[in-house]
Amino acid sequence: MAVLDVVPWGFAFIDFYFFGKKVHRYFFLAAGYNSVHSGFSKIGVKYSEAASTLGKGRLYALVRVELPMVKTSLISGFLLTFIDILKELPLTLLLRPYNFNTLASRAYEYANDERIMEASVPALMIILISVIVLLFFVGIHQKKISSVKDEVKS
Amino acid sequence: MKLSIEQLNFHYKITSDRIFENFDLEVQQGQILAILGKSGSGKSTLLRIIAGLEENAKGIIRIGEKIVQSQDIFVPVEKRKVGFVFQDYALFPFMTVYQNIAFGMRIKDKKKVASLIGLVQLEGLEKRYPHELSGGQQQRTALARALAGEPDLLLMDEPFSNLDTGLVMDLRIDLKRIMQSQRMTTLLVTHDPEDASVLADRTLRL
Repeated sequence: MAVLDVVPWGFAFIDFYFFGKKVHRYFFLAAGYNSVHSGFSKIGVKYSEAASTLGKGRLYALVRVELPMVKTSLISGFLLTFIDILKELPLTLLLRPYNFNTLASRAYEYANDERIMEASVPALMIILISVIVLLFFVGIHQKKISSVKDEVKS
Repeated sequence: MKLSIEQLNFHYKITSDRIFENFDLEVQQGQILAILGKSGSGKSTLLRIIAGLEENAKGIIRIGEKIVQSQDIFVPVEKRKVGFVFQDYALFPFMTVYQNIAFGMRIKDKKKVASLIGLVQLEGLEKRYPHELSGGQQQRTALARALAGEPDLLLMDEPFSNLDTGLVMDLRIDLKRIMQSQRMTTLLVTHDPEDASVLADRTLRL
């Protein structure tokens, strides 16, 4: 292979690793960020301040006090981002490495070739995985709501 | 330990309203000082400044012989050895009474936790979570947690404000007994002059 043939691949590689990854990161940041941010906003600074007055540093307070309290928000953020990435098509088509397929891109390619039967398999898998993740998500939130109700009752 | 404040100046970063201007205060070892005043007069802010939770203050603060704040020194809150009972107690909701009290201890001493639980009369409730406790029990847990780290100074911010009037009467007596047994220098912020007359050796109006 001539050196000149390698150059475009090199650029594509650099483009994907230094630009493509960033685009993905920022694109999917919103769903996860909002969930985690709302978790931290809800607890405020009082628990961190309480831990500080008990002689514990900022990092200790974060790990031992704040993270257990925002655990549900962290898991929710992860699940929402997971579903977002799973179903994402346009960015994946633009930025995926050569010969790399996701369920969404595979479904798109089959559908594009009018192979509807074959396209249905990855499409149904996306739906199935999303439903499982969403059920898990709803379960977490119902548990959270019932614990808040218990607190209000008492 | 003795607390002394010299030439304290403080204003919030956002608003330019001066809360304290050349403010001086001295509280002797073992003395209980009640701080009274209207809303917004700076009662809670004073406690936060002493604890090191407000970094914008200027002046000299000594706890015992140690300077914790001056022009060049700022000892962070976790190193000031100050016990703080917050207005809403700020108990860690996912920890039991026992775990809340033991949180601030360097070495988790079961006997010491048991003696603190006895002191605040919470025997039998060690395994309960804060939401399973009454307001008075939560307040006593917060007090035991603040005392567990053996602080040099105890700061209490409106400890009775979330409680029923009937309960407050009993808790005042309990608190007086505990504070007398500990002989700890204490600053108590309250809006109720009766709290001050029952609990405090001295009163300061802001």
